[in-house]
Amino acid sequence: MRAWLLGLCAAALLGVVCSTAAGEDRPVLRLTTGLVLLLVLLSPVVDFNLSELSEIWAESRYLAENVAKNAEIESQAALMEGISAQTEAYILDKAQDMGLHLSVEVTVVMGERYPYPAAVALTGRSTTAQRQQINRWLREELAIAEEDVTWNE
Amino acid sequence: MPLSDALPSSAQQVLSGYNESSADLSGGLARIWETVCETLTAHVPESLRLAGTLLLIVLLIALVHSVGFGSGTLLRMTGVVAIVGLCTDALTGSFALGAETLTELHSFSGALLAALAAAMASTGGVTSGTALYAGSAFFLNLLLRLVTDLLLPLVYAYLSAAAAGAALGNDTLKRVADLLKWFISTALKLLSTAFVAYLSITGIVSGSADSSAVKAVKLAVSTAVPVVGSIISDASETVLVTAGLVKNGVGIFGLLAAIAICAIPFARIGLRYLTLKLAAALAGVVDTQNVTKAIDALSTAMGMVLAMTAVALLLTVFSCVCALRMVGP
Repeated sequence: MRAWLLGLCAAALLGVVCSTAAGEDRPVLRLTTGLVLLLVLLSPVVDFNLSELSEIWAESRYLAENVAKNAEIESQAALMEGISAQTEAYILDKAQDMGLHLSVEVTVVMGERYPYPAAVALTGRSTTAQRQQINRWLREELAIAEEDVTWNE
Repeated sequence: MPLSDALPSSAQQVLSGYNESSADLSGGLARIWETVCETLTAHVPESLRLAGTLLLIVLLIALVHSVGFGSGTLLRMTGVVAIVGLCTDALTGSFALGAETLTELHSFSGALLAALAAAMASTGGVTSGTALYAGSAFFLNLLLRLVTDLLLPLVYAYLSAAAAGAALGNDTLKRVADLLKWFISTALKLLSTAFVAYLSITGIVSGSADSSAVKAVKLAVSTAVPVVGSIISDASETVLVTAGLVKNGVGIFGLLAAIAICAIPFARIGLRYLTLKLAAALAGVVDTQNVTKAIDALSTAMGMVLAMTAVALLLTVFSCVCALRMVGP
């Protein structure tokens, strides 16, 4: 800005000096100084670096993708936590109906399109018949295979 | 980092007690309005003094001319130099204020756009959020560079050409000034139009991309075991509702914050602009030497700075409104 203003003042000063000249060269001098003044006046337009635009765009795009990606990961984690909590509550309800006092831990994994409950760890006292009944119920209701159910005393 | 921490101190004072989880649009706007009224009340006497002095100069020039003292050109040049000299402080102050407001808005919008994009991505609008953030950040960055490197120097050039044209009564300089004015206003109009067009096009394209993605997931969930499907739907509903609330809070607070950042500078520059317009209109009644053209040029330059700040505010407000309008899929 400072350099541009100084250039403008210098060009204007040159114009004033040249305009005092007399003789046949006067029109040529006026044209030349006019052109110099116009060039200096419009130099910010020429100096404006358009090639930086693609850099600014790439930077903005990179930042945006990172933010959206992180938010998606956080949102996915919240969803998995929610699925885990709801599945645990669902299994506990069933266990209480059967007269069992268990603690439940559900493992949720990410599938191809959505997260789903994949494994269950049950802790508490139970008979073999009760375990078999729960295992069958888990397979039918939640599609959790017997080998993915862990029983702890 | 909370969004309220990214606010510049002046806007923090205006919106004290407000944040993204407790943003009340009408209450916030009322508070901003109060601050604007206070600013206007504090600056009106100063602006009226400036207008009065400008009128006095024009009156004095007309008086001297009417008694036949001094040549017309000399009087006109004296008048223009006196007017420009008197307004230098107000002018450079307004230019600096405009540039500072742009920088503050640009810096705040970085945090705001990131928060909006994150909230939109959490509500299922990953593509929309990315497009909104990338586009808004790009256009705001472009505007800031355009203003600092090109438009502000051109406003100075406009002012120099218009003032010199008024002082010398030179039509060529007037035409150069008109060309510069046209260039500045066209650049700002083009930028705003390009931004709105970008938002409209990407809004439609990315909105449908997000909807299709969510529909595909919903379809996949519906084929799952009924109980599992119902659990996933419930959990996903909870996540979406929470993210929607966050998005609305961020959007409304961002809207208020952008207005709060611009309100005081707007009021101050706007008041000077109106004062100069008023002074030019009143001085025109007694002006015999066309020196009011210099006052007109000064008010137009002030108007250009106002327009630059307005475009930056428009970009930020549009981004917030687009985020708020995006309905969760």
